[in-house]
Amino acid sequence: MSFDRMHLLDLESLSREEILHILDTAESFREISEREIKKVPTLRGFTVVNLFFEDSTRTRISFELAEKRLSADVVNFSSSNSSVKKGESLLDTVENLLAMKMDIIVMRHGASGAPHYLAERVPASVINAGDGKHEHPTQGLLDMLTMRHHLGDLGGRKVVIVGDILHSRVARSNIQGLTKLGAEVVLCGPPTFIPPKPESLGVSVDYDLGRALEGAHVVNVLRVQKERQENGLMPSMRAYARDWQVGLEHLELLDKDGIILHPGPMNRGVEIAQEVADGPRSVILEQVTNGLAVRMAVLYLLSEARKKLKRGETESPDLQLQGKSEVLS
Amino acid sequence: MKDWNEICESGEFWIENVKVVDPEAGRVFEGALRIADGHIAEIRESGAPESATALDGEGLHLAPGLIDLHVHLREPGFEEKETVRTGAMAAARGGVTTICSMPNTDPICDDGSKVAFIRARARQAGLCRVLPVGAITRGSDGKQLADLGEMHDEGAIAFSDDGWPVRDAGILRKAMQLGRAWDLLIMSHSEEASLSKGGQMHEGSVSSKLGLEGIPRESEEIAVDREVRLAKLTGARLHICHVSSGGSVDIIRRAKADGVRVTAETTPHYLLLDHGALSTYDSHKKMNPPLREKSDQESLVQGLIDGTLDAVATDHAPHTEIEKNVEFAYAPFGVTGLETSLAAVITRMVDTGLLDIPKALALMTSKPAAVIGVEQGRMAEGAPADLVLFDPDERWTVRGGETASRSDNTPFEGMELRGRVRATFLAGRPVFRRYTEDGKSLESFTPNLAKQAAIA
Repeated sequence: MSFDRMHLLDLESLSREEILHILDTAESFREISEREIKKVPTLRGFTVVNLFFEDSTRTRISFELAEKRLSADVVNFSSSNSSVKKGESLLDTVENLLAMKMDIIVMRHGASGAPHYLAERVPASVINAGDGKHEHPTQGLLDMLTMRHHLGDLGGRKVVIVGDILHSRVARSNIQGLTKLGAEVVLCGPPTFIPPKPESLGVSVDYDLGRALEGAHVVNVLRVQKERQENGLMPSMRAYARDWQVGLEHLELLDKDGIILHPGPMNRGVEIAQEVADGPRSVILEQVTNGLAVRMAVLYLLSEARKKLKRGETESPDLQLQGKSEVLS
Repeated sequence: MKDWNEICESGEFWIENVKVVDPEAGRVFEGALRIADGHIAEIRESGAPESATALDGEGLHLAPGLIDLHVHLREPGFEEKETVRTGAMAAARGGVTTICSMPNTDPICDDGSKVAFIRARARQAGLCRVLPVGAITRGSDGKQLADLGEMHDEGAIAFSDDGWPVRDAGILRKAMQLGRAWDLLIMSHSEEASLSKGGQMHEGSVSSKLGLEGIPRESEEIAVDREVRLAKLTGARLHICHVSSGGSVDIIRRAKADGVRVTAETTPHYLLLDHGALSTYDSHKKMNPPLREKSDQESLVQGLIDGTLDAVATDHAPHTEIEKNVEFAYAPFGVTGLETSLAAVITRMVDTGLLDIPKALALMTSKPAAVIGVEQGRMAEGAPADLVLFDPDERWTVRGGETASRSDNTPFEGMELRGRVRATFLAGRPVFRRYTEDGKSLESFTPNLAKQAAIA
């Protein structure tokens, strides 16, 4: 398996083999963080910019740490969405950065499709660190890595995603990745939180939490945001918690090896009960550890693809997307 | 090449060796036209007289110039997107000789002087007839009725708050009632805003996948239903703009059967594209209402065939590259269309065998003419000599960069279409020509300044 992508924009465009290859690569990177000297020279000479147009703590830190452990030169840029929207365009911002020769852009952005927009227009590699309500591919990958550790092959495993699916990029990356790996994905939440035509995504829907969790191998609990209540999608947080909070009583419904994931940050007592978050089924902190390994793997694979391209050894599918061969100019 | 303008200078000449398209009669025949004083003086099913001064039509099709019921000219206020002149150039290049200009400029076209301003600009441009649409409410704010009678006196052809719906049903009802005094035409941008709020594209499988907020069909259908009921209540003439949803076609079909005075248009982009075209977040395919599904496309086509939909109009909505070349959610709604509408309709309706040339052309000539009640759009002696000479078989690839419009936000970029405009006549003068000289394809625009008063 060779990985010839120039970008990681979403899991929708990746094949099952590419996803498995990233996960396998991530396995080997897990070990580096266990060493006394947690650093390898893999990305020496590469410059990575973390471009965060939305607030993020854990994803940004995870990426930054991954980059530093791979010996990349790292630059951070943070800006709230609105100020950039009023002033300089995204393309201008990025072209200014690229004038200083950046190789890889890790971007979080509030608009769905923003990394795709960028990838078509700049010679650097783009890693999507979350775009609007679309995808958060490294989160999807780290979730799958965590599931694999506990369950092995995910084919035929029942994964229930609970919460605000409609607005969740984590959910979309989970759905795209897990369906490719053959898992059975069930969405659960209030009907106002379920995207239209869910069957077109290859998943099923069950509004009843108890029924949905029956025999589940994985429960991925999503964060419920207060603003949804203000938008009238839920009467109140309390109303949400009453019918869709994953509580202790639900754990016995799961498969005996069933695990609980949450992408964080958690609203304890809203979408997840305290006892569940901290209980034996919870693998929430493992997710964080795996996130680092996944991000190292993605950075490594893209850097290798860029090196191969420079040597003229690859025909990346992403080059057609860009319609330009001067990707590495 | 003999200079056509020289031949036309005298005001009387023939166009010969053409296949004459009569959309009303549903006929195409080989013949010749005598043009005199800006009008069609004579139609012959044979050649021009031996001694006559004649332009050679090279066996191409000659049809009435196209009438586009829905165009955004952007002047005044947004001249960086389009002006009356550049919009008129785009029209001439597309074979369009009459356009209805929407009032959502800055300021909004909501009184007589603003209607007069647009007409004056159109006369100066001399490339296309421009019939301004006046606003229904002052500033299109949906609150207080604009002076419809004054705008009517100044030549407003219809009334609309297009760009936005009239949210308050009571206000719309009063506009329809007041309009009865002059039997005004109300053009409706039908949208229930509480359902479309925040939406970026059609609500469906693609919006689910892309994580973009959806605009459900129902936001249009509920509004169309409301407008139709108010037209029935008031007896007003109603025209439903840019129908995108199959459900709207059904509502309009029933209303027509019920005797409501309603007409409707759809657009080339709804006929050729569907929401799948957005899967790469291409902001050049973002418009409101949005591209919907294949099933809607089929209902729209059926509506055009059975007469439920009267016309194809472009909703030509120019935006600059700076505005469009941004993240999808930040890009404005709207696509251009004046220069591609003829080819789009031939490609979708004729190339597929659904309609013949005259019937397809009727959707852009005689039928929209009937909607707004003008004498253009007919192949008849005495009608204005607004004509389009075109090759119905030429296939060409759309390139936004080649546009005459000030903006190049076409949704058809890179698509191969069938049917190409070779010349456009306005009030008896060739205002646009595409010709080949020394193996090079050239284009020229010649304003008709002799007939300015007749143009607008």
